Amino acid sequence: MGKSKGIWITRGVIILLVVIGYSFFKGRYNTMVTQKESVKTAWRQVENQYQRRLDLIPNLVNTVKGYATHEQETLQGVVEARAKASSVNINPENLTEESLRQFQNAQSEVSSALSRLLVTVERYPDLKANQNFLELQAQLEGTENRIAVARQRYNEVAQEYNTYIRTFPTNIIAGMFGFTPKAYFTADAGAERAPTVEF
Amino acid sequence: MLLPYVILNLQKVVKGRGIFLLLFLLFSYTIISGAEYSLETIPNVRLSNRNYYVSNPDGIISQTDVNRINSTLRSLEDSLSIEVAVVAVGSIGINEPRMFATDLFQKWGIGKKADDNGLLILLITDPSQRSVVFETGYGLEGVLPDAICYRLQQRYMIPLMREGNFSEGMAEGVAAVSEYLKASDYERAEIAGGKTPLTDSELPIGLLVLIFLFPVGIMVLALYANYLKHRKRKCPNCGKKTFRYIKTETVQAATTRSAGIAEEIYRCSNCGYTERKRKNINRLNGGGGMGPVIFGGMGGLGDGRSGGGFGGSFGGGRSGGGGSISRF
Repeated sequence: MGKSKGIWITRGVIILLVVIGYSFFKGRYNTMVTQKESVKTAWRQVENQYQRRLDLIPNLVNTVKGYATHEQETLQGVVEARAKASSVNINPENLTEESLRQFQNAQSEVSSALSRLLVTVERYPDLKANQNFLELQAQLEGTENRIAVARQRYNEVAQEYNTYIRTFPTNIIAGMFGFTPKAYFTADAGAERAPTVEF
Repeated sequence: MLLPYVILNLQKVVKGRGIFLLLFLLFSYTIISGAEYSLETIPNVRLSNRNYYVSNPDGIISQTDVNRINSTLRSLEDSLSIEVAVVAVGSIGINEPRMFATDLFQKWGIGKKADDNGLLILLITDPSQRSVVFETGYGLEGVLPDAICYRLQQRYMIPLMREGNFSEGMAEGVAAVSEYLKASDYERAEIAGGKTPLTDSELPIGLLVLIFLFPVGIMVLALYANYLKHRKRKCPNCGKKTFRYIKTETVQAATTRSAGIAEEIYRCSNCGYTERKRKNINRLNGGGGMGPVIFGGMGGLGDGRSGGGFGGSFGGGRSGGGGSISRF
């Protein structure tokens, strides 16, 4: 009788340990998956907004072309930067510092090409008074703002995720199942916001 | 600055809830002396009364215009469930207006949660950062694209505000936005004063012809069906062409729960032979709460507009930095 009682206790303890282990593992694993998905969503939002900016460029270039005939070089610069930026895409699974830096570099070239363009526009009063141009500029500014917001929100969720997978004991499970930290956006030099043009 | 505010709100102070208002006024007095607002110090007036849409701690907007804006926005929310918040302050310190608007939008959660259909209109009068900012919720970005926001600002608000007439400029702007949101695409072109973004290309002629022909076609079909029913047929009894439709009788009336039955009676005027054809009557719609009854913003109906409404926050909508800014 005493022997079988001992066996039952051992079995009970084992089952209990399995159940505890399972729920511990399940909770952490699922949280990691959920957080990783939010990082991906936030990243897609970032990409969407950058894409929105790229989509505005042809229209902007065409409008400027009609007025600023002596700015071929600046316009060319914008078009090239755009072409380069549209070729840099990141798989959200692979948001490493390296890939994010490449992406950011390509996009900040667009930003600086655009700001050069907007500076030259100052020399063309007709263009500055053009309704179509003013609205494009408003759209561009709205898009830059959206980009800033999307980047900030991406950084927030990425930080939450990174903190979670790096803290003990989640880091053990994270290492086993390949949950790697996601890179952050860093402020790029002088190109974070579009130049503000007084209307 | 406090005194006119007290006088303007005296009616409300007397009407009850006076303690709250007095506390609020005392509180806002301390802010006014500071005169620089942060996200935390801009009062969300909606919390005290869901019929208030205008946060106007510096009294930049006159009471008449505040009332006008409140009723415009109440009606907008009742009809389209769109929530608009108006904020007019002197200064927001070192904050950047555009980002400030995004953050304030997020903090207040303007717009219904499911639709993200909020709009924040922020006016800052301090000369160093004087501007009007529209921040559109995700759900409004389609109807109110940045270019339209900019156009509405330039057309209705900036001309008045440039002359220092902030109050009227805001009222006009709110009216224009509300009209724009309520209008059809065609009317929108008029309001925004330019081409609509949606109909850049003309409608193709073929489509127009089809649109005109469509109702004509339906009418012809209906007439033909009528003819088929009423034409004289050969009588199955006597063989003469005098057998025709007489009338329809209802056997069992349709209700909202079940379909009804009717009988079409055909009779031969020569030999008197009669035939009955059974037809179904469609189940009734609408009555008894079966159909979709659409009343925008039911919750708002119960509230008096004279300041007797309950407090409530905005719906928890989100934005992502859409909208536009006009500096002047």
